[in-house]
Amino acid sequence: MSLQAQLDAFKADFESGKPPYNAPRPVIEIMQRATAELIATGAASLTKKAGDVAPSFSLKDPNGNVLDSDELLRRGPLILTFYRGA
Amino acid sequence: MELKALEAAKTKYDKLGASLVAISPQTAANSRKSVEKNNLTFPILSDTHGKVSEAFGLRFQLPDYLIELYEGFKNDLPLFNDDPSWTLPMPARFVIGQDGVILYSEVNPDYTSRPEPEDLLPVLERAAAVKA
Repeated sequence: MSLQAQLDAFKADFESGKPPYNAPRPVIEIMQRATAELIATGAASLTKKAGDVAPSFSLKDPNGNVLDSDELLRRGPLILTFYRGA
Repeated sequence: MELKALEAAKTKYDKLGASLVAISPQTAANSRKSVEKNNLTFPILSDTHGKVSEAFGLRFQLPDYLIELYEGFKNDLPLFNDDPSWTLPMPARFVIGQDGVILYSEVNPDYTSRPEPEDLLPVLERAAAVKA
């Protein structure tokens, strides 16, 4: 199943209040409102884009090893995925 | 879900010489749990206080009514991220070329709408062809 199909199935279950989420209607509405408002700010159009120079970074992995973006780029192209967590 | 889908595509990325890393504001301990739970072979890097997500323009402040909701659920984001600010990154994916220039970017405030991991392959193939 494609990623988007999995996400669509999750969303359908979540928004219809099904288990394991059992989300009450007001909770669903608050989350929808927050997403709609974030879209409406236009913040997504102000991010770094193709053609921009990427900010470089040095961050730790869970074991405390430092990974440096310049070093990773010496090996090849770098894919970044920003993940909110949990 | 997204991390697992990226993991499934990772051998294709490897073949094209690309590295894959996830960046998250959550603490290292929580990232380790995510890595283990999803059997990931790529790292989740700790973006303490969202500095890197800020540099990419992805960091946003949660509205008060959402903070209130999370607090009601005992979803303690300041504890989870070791950051008092109640901020998160918008979901995003980038491919950076070896010269440091971004080749592909995708940002969507709605985390239930994400591109397929395979969508990155054409841009990685072009990058590999330029290098060859």
